[in-house]
Amino acid sequence: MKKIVNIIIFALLLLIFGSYMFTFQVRQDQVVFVETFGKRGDAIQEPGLQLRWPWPIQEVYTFDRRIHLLTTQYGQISTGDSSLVVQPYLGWRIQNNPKTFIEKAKGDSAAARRSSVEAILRQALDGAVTSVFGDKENLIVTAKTLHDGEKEQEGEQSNGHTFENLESAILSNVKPKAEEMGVELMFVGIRRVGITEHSVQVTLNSMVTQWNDEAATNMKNAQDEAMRIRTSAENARNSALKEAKAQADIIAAKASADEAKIFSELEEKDADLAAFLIELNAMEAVLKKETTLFLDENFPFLKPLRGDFLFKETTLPDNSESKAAPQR
Amino acid sequence: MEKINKSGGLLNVAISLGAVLLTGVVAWKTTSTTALAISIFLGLCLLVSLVGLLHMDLTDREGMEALEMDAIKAGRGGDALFEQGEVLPAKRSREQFERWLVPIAAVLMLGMQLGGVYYLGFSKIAMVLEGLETQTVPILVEHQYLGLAGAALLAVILFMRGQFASNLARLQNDRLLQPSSDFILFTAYLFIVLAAVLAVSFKEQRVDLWVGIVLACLLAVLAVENLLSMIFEIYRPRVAGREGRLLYRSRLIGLIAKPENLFSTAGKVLDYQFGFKVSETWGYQFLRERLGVLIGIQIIIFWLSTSVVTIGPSERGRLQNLLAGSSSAQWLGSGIHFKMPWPFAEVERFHPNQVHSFYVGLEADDDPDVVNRARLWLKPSGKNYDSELNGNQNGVGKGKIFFPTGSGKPGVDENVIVPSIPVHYRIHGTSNKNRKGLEDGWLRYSDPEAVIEELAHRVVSRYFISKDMKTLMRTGRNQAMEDVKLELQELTDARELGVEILFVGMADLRPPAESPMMMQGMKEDMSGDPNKKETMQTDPVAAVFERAIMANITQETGKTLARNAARREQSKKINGVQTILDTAISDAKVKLTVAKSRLELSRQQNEPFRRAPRLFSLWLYTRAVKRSLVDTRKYIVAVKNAEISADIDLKETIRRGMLDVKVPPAGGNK
Repeated sequence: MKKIVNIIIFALLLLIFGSYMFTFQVRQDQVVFVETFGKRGDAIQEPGLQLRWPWPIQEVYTFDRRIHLLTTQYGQISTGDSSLVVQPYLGWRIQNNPKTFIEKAKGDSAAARRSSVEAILRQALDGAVTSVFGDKENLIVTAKTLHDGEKEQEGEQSNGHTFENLESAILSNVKPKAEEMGVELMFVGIRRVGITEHSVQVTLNSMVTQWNDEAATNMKNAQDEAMRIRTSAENARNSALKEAKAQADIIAAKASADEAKIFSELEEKDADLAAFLIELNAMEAVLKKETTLFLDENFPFLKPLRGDFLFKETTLPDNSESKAAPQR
Repeated sequence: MEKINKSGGLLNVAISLGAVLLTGVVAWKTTSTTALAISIFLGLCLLVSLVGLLHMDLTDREGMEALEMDAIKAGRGGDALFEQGEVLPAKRSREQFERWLVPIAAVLMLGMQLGGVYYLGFSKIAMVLEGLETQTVPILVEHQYLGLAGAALLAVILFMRGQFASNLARLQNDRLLQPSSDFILFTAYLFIVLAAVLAVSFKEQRVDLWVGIVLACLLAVLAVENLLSMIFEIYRPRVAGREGRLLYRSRLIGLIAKPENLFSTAGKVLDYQFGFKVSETWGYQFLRERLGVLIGIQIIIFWLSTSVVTIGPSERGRLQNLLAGSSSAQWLGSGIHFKMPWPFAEVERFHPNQVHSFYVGLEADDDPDVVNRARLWLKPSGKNYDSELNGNQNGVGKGKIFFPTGSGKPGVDENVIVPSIPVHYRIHGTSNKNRKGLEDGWLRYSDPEAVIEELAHRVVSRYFISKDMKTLMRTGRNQAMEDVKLELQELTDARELGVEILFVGMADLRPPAESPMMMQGMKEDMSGDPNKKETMQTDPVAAVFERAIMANITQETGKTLARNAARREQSKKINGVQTILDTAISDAKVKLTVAKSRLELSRQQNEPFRRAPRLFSLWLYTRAVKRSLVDTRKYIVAVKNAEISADIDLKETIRRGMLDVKVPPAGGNK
């Protein structure tokens, strides 16, 4: 039993290592070159299982034909008198005819060869970005000009740069170098645009100033607006009250006129009584509150106080002799 | 006399030397960290073999010398000429060797072990890790076929020699042959591991680094064991005639090389603990004899299980049959599938219907303490916030968290914002006329996740720089979410990525929590320009921005209060006007009514007045006087012809006192 297991394991190991050493596989998204004693053969692009001789007779280089992404570092570049931090990227793949690629790529393994091509592409991309961003003599590329450029697309006319234009310029710059390396350039983009370390401090400083100013302006505007609203309301109220008082005066005047008209209906013969009643009403109104009276004994109602009626016939009091003097 | 196998020792030295040279070539050609670590182990093996061989030689000479001495003693009939110990040079040489050279060899081994750990840990592995950060496709191992051939060859040779020599040493109780034999067997296992690493490196090169780290740790453990052995040796009591412990023999290596020794030790422990011979039972013996077979069967079952593939409900699998004549991929739906076992066929899994996510800008912190905390602008959070803010150790990438935006103010060039934008997307399962799918879109790229992340960063960067910070922070977020989502969708469609953008979140946009002074201070740490500090403001930008927002809120509040006051004034105005008019109308009505009533009163009282004018007038008068004088204060002077002076207080109280109130009589209304 033990021997059988050992034999099976040994056979499996032999099978695995044998398949690795004497065969290779080409997948549908791969291109393969086989070198026999250092002499390169044709590119194999048809998917399938292939036979080979083990190293050092034959060496197999397998490359991925799919689109690869290459992103450079987030790095500072000079833009005229200023500088900007830019991180571009590109998509590339091996050309349909991979002969140029395998000739240009250097290295001992497929991965090393791909790395060598990527290194060249990276350098070309960095160079193109520096060239495109740095050589704009008429209008230097800055965050401000990018802002203006992108706003321009929304209808606001101003000078500036757009991502699209810059990317097109970079693409045209890198493309010849990529084709020279047997690489098809699929796209180029600007992943990030940032500001430099020094600019960060300056920008933050100007932001603090800007937003402090905005806060102060907003506060001032708020106070002015509130004051305007309040004043306007008070003025409206005062004028309305004045108008109302004028209206009230008119109503009162009209009422007085009507009152006079009513009193004019009294006949002459009733006028004495009416006048007497008016006097009585007026007296009642005057003496209603907080009045101090000094009365002498001759006040009509006080005559009985003296008891004269005990000695003679009682007579009605004479109003004209009253010395009552209301005092407030 | 001790059994000495000098030829075996010599063979161990020769094999170790050859293995060291061959491993050096393999390590050099493959640039493998694992191979380098194994070459250090083989260097130790060579040293152990050399010391062992010398020890054997000296022991052998001592034995020959003892035989000669016995022969001389027998021939001279017990003459005491050679009784003294000093006349046995071979014995003295062996003793001096054990006393001085063996400890020196142990120290040398310790030096090699520590040097190896230092070189592997702080040079080779550190260099590889640094390289991994910059390489998109890491190249850790080259010339795998050469390495595989060398590793397999050495594994076979060393295993055969190590197995034979180790068993022989155990059977012959040859303690001097045992250390080097165990070490050779141990290195044979290491070469099997190296072969596996090289085979796996076709798929994943990082495995070489991981195994290299494990071997560096093992080397460190061996160094510790060696050091402890030396310390214990110092305090070990020396007994005449009793063999000392070999310092160059590692118990750990012996245990790894011959794991079956564990059974002996375990058996003794079990026998002692249970009080009977557990080690002689059928079960124990079966395990001891068949454990290797059982493990082998399990490995085979495990290997066969790789021919069964289960694809989950939201998964799709791409089957690559490596033995097929044409390797066009076959797509597998959810369910159980059978395939050739690894490595003849493999299945790559995709999750086209699941929601995939990534962040543009700062990645949200998933630490529960942070998640449950209020998200405040002045308390910045986010994964790796400090490193994203300050860059790496050299300051490269400093300020990466800041995305420039427009300022919205003519005098200020730009503002910056700190975003943390989650983006959710779904891979389109099948293509249609509007959008590519998994097969003809997503799989066209070698690293599609990275591509979509780059595109999202591009769209967000462009969008932010086209807008003002005020708009983004206050009123334009919903619009920004829609615009960025739409633009990203258009861009991914243009690149034929075959994805559907589901969501772009703009909830976490923040102004910088840092002040200009703080950023300047960070720069001072590196370059230094203290004069500039005076021009830098100390307020954090987020605090100032918050102040501006508060001013806006105050502005709105002030306006609202003013409007409320205006409404009150309006109400007062209406009420006041109405009151004045109503009063005027009412007064006018009263006036007219009074006039009418007086007119009517005059008319009605006219008749009695005509009939008894005097009496009626008196009646009217007295009634009026009575009513009028009820509440007045009255002073009546009823004295004639007398001089009276009186002080009268004419002050009036503003209000009536308690005494002025008339209390109704008892009984009320009765």
